[in-house]
Amino acid sequence: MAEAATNWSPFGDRGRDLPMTRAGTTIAIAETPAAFVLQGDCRDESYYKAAEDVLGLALPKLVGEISRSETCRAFWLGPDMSLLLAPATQAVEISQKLAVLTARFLHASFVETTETRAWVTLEGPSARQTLMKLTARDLRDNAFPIGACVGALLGPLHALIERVGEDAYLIAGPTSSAEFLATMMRDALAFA
Amino acid sequence: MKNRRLSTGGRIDRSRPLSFKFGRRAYTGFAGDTVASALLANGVDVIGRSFKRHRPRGLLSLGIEEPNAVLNIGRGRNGQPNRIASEVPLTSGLEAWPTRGWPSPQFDLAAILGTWPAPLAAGFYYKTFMGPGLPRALLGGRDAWNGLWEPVLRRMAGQGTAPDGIDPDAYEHMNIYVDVAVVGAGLAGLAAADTAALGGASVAIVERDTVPGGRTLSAARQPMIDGRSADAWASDTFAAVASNPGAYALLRTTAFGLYDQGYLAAVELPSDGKTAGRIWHIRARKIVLATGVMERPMVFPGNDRPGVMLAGAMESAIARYAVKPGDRAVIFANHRGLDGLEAAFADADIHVAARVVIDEAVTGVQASRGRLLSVDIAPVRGGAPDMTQRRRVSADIMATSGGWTPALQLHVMTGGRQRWDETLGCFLADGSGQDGILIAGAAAGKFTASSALADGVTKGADAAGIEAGIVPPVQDFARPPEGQGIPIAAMTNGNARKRAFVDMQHDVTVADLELAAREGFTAIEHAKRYTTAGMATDQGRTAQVATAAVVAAATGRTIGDVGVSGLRPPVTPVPFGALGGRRVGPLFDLVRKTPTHARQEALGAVFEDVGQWKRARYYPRRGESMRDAVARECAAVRAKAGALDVSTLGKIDVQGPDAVEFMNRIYTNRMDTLKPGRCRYGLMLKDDGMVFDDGVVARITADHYHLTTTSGNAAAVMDWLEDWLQTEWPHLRVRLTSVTEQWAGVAVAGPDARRIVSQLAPEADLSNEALPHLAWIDAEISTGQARIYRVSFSGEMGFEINVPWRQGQALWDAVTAAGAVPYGTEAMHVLRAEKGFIVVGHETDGTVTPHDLGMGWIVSAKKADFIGKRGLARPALIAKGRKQLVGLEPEDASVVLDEGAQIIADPDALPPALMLGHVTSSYWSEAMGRGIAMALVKDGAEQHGERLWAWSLGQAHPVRVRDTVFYDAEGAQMHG
Repeated sequence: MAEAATNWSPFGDRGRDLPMTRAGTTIAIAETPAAFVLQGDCRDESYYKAAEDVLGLALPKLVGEISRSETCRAFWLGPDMSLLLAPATQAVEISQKLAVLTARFLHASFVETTETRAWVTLEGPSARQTLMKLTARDLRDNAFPIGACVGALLGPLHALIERVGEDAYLIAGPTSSAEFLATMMRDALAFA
Repeated sequence: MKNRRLSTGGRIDRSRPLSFKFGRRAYTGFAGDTVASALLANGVDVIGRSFKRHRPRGLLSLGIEEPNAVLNIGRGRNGQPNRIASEVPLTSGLEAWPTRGWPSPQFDLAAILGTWPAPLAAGFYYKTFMGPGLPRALLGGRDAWNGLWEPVLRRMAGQGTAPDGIDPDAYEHMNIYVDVAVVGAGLAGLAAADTAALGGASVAIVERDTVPGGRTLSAARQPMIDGRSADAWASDTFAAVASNPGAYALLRTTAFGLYDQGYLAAVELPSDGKTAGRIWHIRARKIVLATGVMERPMVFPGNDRPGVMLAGAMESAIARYAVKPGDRAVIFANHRGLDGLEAAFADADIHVAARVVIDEAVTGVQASRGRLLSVDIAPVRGGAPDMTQRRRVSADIMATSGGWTPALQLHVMTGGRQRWDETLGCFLADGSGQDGILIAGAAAGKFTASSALADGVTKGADAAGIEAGIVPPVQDFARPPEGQGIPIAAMTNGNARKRAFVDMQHDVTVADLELAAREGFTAIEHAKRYTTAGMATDQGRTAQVATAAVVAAATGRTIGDVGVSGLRPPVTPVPFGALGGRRVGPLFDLVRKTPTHARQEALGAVFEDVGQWKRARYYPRRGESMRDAVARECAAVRAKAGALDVSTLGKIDVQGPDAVEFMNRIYTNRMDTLKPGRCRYGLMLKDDGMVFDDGVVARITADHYHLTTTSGNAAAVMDWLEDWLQTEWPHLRVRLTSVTEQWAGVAVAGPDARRIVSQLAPEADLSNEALPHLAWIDAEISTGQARIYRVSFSGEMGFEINVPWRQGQALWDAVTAAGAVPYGTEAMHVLRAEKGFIVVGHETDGTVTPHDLGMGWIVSAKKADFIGKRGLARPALIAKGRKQLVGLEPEDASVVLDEGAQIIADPDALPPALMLGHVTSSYWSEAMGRGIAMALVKDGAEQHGERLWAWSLGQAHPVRVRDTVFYDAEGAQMHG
């Protein structure tokens, strides 16, 4: 369960260097959403439908897919595995909904993972160029349109990258490596 | 030195003179020069010494194939070894250093080796340096090779000097995706890129030169394309390609590796010395290799003398760099396609003293101080030179051409093969290799400008999946070397063969290859390895065909039957700095920090790397040594209470109706009997029965477990569990989630631990009855919600408090404020060793079973199966003679044994002594007042009470073997 916020930041000293802007492109710390990993057999139509009823969104079935409701997003993390994100204020409500849902299906379970990721935004004309220095993922429009999300290596980090606008991305990395993530992205934006 | 710069012509910018140094001497060149062309213009004939024989060497070529002019560029931390002089653009203030030659390349004391060719023949090292049979004591305990010869040869050989500091240059990496990638911006490459781009494909074109155009840049007579000179057409077309949206047009960028599935790696090395270098990771649907050709030198006695250059290099020197390489030339070729060279010589007013083509051969040269004086020429009759008709012609330069070899290195790297084409006299791609790779232009045997251009258009259209367009009209001025023969001059004299160099970078001669064939190394890959032909940094670019030709002749086969050897990336040397990119300094490796990291830093912690985690090892106070600090921390835990950050432990959430079955299969002990609210120590084995990992399993509910792993092994354990679940037991309804960073943890250990934890969680019942050893509860503590595990890795009463990660620092503050003394991982190790607790990676190394560790008690005999059960039943794992874990007490209590010390029975035994085992953990124990250790010892369980010796670094200490539990064997402290 998400706890009340503290003054501690996983970005440590590097957090003081953010936001950072170079030539109109900015890296900034993003709010940490409540996060839950939901697993269940999506071939079970009744489960899939129940999830849609409870959460207000259809669980993503394909790599790169995101489903959205008014307040909640679901990323495809793996076969039958979704990452649900919601504003931190709704953590308890989402948790309760998931408990209700998973109690009905033996194959389903959920785990809160809010604490496991730290989030940054990257926005501006050289945002894609900056990411191209760090990831081997195809970031062209046809392969990574606005609204898509992928799990990818960002430098040595396992990260989630969501394209949230023409030149805007939301990036999540492991909380323990948030300082490294910030250092690496600042370097990529500033270098050359 | 003679100034050889022509007063007009060339592609140099005479308005921008550039000063540079070669060795200790200063020279001047111009913008547009390479280091090679500038040295040539300054009359520097001898640029280095050869690898084995230290023969004087000059420039052979002015391209990437250059085998001799491999220089150090810059010095000290700015130094770059292995740079090909012809590939380094001249810049102001550049310093270049010869790779070999002492005191100078012109006068090299080691040249004595060149007068002594016989002992340096193929296989010399293998045959010679096994002896002499000197006593090892004289050789530092090593054999003759390691103790004597290798150190000597290392000093004499080598390919330059490594930089002596951190590379000041900065590099980055860039990942791009395109529809079509084209390697080479010669005529074919440009035509392919332009056609593909016009067809709507996104295109990347990479060119190692500073300007597009390929061989036309060096041509004395430019072909005309579409009414323009070829270089104008090339420049316009390159710009047109670059202007397309999503296009990448990269100069000074060398494609050095081609890998699976259209992955091309290229290195961009800017020439201005200011901007960054860059590795380009290019992924393309189709790749067009328009890599051109390399000219082959003729092989004849003395062919390595300075002044002997490739015909194309001479033409380039004159046409591109405005350098007149000499005054009087001999031309020696196995074909007649030398119109360009003849035109260049005419332009530069170079007299051609002799044209030795096909019916004649050069049988020797005379040189003085490295410079060519004259050339011996004889007619060839019946395949041999007629020495009775030999004539001597004075000349200061010789242009040789043994034909052209398509540059197919990238094709070969993808598994593509080559076939010998009798008509063209060269190896061509045989159609094998990966899908999606097309070869165009001269690399495909299209040697004329018109055929290369047409082929480029065709391959570009193929790559883009469109119909081929119109080929621009081309007017050629020079004949290509079609009908070229074998580039080996006829030779009769055996000694002459010892001076006829096939691979100049590694000093491999015709005689070497013939010797290899006589000794049975007849396969091309064997001959390569025996003689090292093709194994230098140039990968034998100028040597491949000649090597095949010599081996073919020596074994009675054809060149096609012999073939050429394989090639590996990189095509050309790539700076390590470029490969590293931005993964240097603070970005060298991923760093993981716990939420208490800032607090540990403030306490002055000395950190250690555990996996990628930074963990506080100990907290030295002013004036304390590590041993003092660790002893103080241990004493605090034993006397009162200590706090250890255990956030790094791997944590995995296991849920599902089949979770019980899954856990029972994963661990050696039973997890079905574990009740909700309780914990159990568990051991995982690999399927061979060897210990893989350990940790604590907590049962949350009937179908829900939470398990911990060792800090460094968390990802491996997660992979292991998923592997079994997904591939072997997909029917088990179990879900795994890594929650390592969901939970931060602080261990509170010591007699005072309960009081401290109670202070944080006043509402929680922490009594032995409510929370006994190996139980857990959820509780509200001062920082918020927490989960408290009653576990101990110290032998004292212990609690591990887990809170959400972002609460970790607050938890640490609360625990230490309540009186727990911070202790680090070193104290943790001492405390656990005193209790005989193992650490995976210390007491185990992938060859150790639970029984070896004396932990047979954790292997369930009742379970039907678990991973490793059948492995453990193998006879060898239960036979006598296995190494078993024991405790050791040095007889001298003040001694702390070296970890890794070898256990022996007799300290006076001569090497090789029988090794009985080794020390796995060793510490100073403040609680025991002595050094303690654990060791894996042969039949250790039967050796308790025996006296053995622990040997390390020349010292042997007597030790007494005992059980592994040094402290509180009854466990009274732990259970409270």
